[in-house]
Amino acid sequence: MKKPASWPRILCCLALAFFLAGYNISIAAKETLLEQGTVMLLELRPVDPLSLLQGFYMALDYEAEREIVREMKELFRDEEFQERRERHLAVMRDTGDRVYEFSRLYSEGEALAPGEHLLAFKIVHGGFDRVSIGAGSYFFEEGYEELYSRASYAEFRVDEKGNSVLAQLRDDDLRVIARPEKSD
Amino acid sequence: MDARQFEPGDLNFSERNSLGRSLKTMRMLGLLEHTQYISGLFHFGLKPDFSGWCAFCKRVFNLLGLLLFLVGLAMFLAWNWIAMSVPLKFAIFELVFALCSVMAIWRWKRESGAYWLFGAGISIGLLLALYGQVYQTGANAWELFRVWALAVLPLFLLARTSCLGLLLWLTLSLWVALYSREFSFSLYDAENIFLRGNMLLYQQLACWFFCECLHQIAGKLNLPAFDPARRLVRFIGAVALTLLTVKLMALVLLAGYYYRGVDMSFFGNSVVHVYLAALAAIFIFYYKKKPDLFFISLGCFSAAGILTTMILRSLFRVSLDEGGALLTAGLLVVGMFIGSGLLILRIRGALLSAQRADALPGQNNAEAGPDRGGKLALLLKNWLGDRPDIQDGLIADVLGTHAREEAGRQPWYFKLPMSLGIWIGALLLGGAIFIASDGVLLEDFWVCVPLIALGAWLFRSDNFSVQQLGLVCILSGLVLGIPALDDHPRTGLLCYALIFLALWATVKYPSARVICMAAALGFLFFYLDYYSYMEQYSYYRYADNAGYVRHGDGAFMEKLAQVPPLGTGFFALATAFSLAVLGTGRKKISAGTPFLESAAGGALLFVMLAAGYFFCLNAVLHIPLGVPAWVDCLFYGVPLGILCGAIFLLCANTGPAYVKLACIPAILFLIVIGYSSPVSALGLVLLFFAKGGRDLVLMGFASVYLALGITFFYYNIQFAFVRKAVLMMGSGVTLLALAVIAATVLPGLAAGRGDGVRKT
Repeated sequence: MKKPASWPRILCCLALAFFLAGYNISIAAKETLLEQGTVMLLELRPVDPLSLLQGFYMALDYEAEREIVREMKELFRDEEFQERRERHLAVMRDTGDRVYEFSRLYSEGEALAPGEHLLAFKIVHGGFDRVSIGAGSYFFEEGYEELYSRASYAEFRVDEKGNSVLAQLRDDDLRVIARPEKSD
Repeated sequence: MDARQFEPGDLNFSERNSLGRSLKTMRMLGLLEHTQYISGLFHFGLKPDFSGWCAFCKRVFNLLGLLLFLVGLAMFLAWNWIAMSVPLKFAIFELVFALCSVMAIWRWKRESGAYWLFGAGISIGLLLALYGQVYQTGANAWELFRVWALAVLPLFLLARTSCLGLLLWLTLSLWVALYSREFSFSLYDAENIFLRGNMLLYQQLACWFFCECLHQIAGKLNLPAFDPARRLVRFIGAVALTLLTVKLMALVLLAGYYYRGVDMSFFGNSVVHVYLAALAAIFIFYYKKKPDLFFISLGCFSAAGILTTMILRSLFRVSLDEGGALLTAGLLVVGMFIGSGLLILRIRGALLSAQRADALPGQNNAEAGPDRGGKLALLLKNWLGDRPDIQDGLIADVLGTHAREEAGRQPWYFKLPMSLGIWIGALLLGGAIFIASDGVLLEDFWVCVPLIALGAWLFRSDNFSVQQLGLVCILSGLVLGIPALDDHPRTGLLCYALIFLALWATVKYPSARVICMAAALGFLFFYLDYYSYMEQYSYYRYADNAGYVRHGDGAFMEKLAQVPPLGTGFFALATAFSLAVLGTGRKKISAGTPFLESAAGGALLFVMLAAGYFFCLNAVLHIPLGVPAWVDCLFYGVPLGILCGAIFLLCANTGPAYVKLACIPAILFLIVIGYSSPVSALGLVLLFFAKGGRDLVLMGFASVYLALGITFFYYNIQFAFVRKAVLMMGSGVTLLALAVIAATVLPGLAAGRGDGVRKT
């Protein structure tokens, strides 16, 4: 009797291991960024914090995104704006207390002044005239909506290339918003 | 033909059903004594013997125990989620993935390996979602499904299992569907009519085409491992065909309008010709090249639906308010669907004749029904032994009658659209009558009177069953639901649930019933979910940092909203239990014994749940209800136990009269519960309907509702969520332990008694 081939089994094992390895490398990269990245605080514009399927979250709308859209619209025609889907870089300027605001779009080879930092963003296609600099939402536990409704700043960790990770939210006084310990 | 070739255990569901009906006929003709009849039912597996019972219990307990444990575990994790560190969160999900992967590789050649691999595929999605949540990546939902689909693709190509195929198709579809929304996906999108707006349609058509090609290639090269399951192909094909039909309907509705400056003339639109040509090509392929009644039926009704839309669109231009227009439309719709039905029946007859002519003797034919070819007659004759009063001709006559009855039944995919078409026509005609009355009579009157009349007629009918009740439900759901859809989406969700509930009750084909029930439960779940959120919170669009306003307090729904995993858990439990009852019902229980098995299964379930909840609740956790724990236990547990035992014994027909009397307090208790939990009352009513209608599936459904209602009732008792999670896990472990007992200890006891088959 012909023995069934074992290569699909081996390949499947490799595929699963490959996925797991890639997944953990990606986690390590994010953790490194969180640990070593530059702290960048961006001002928020609050949006409705509710999702029927996902539960409670704070939808995040950044002031910097609006500035970037305004700048891009001045530089490009609408059709060009909507067709440009590649990753872009913005130059952000520190206004004190590590609160950054949009300065200008980054040109290739441009030198950054002190207090300036790169931040990557992408154009959200579909004709919504919108760009995205990162997380569009912040998930939190139910029952803490009032606490998180005080959020005024989003804290990002950014690396030299402008890659960012949302770390936490802060209130008007730049205090970190943390959930108090619950008691059962 | 040698009777020894066959054993009763080899019979499929249809054959068992036919044998059961034949035995019943012979009993009615006086050819069998009652004891012989019962004995026959056991002999042919129509009633399960003791080992059958053990297998049934093992299956139900295993499934429910595992489910309860997992739901409890999920609840437990949900409660502690925020407090858990990030590495721990990743470790939990990665461990699940690793476990599934290792088991899949280890059990590669066994059937369980496929399920483990499917679990690994699901875990990939969970890991991706967790990654997105922890690092708040801001990635779009379609990006998650894209990565998921790409990760599942190699697994599917290597393993080629149906469940992985379904997962791949689902993730692909969600990827494309969500990605399309980025482009303002709309059925009315004229500008992107070929490209972006229709990506989902093209993707479905491509998947369907790919599956059929794979089927053809696998057939020609004799590679059965690469042949996709027919059910999967039909499912994907039905989705693609539905999208194509809806697209054409939308184009019909747009005809005559200018949309974004584009003239949406129907037949002047080249895209319409392409779509119609595609529809025709599909129909011809499944009619001539690869005869498939499923797709032929869908094609016919698809065409009928498009024509109906065209007629309605034409009349709408004149005036929909005119009773005459509605009357004409109603008559046309009814006529068209009847015409389609007759056409399909004619095609079916031709196909069956051709297939019968081609089929080898004794070969089963999927569309023609089981070709018994004397197999059942031999089994029956063998069992009857030497009975001079029963001639071969008589057996053949009895079996032949039922075989003809069965062959005359229409498949579900014929009855479903046919019924829908007739219902649409009936609604239009009802509207015409309403308009003809000049609106003098109240709408409620026009809704209630026909329903009451219909109900009265159905109750008078000898063949009344829950199927007819479903018809009433769907009529009321449609009539009352459609006007409500515009102004209240929550009501719409409920109406959809009612519609699917009615469809579930109407169709008889098990797979269709599973789909309908899952859809009904899904809509009910979203209805509850929507209700819970929307009734509690209203939101202001932020002009500044305005917060939320909470409404209401103390209601069950509000509590449910605070713990969405619980709602999800209930839904999962309900669905899985329904599937379990359906699954076990089809395999171990025949239509000849509709009530006994599922009722006993449900009763045992209740006992176990009651044991798991009440004893753990009182003995271990001591929930402060304000009364001593033993009072709670007695108050809640004893009547429930009496009810379960009573149902069990009643159904087994062994209980004395006092057992029947014991039902009364138990039912009163349930009515009291029903007062605070209407779902329980509904479950109870359904239970009695199921018993009266001898409907196995409704029995399971009622059990689910009773379980849900009672669980809701207890949920209202104030105790911590985390403790409930522990209780559910405890109940799960209890059930799993009982499954082991059912699989090992009980058969041994039966063997010791020497009565593996119950004496009659």
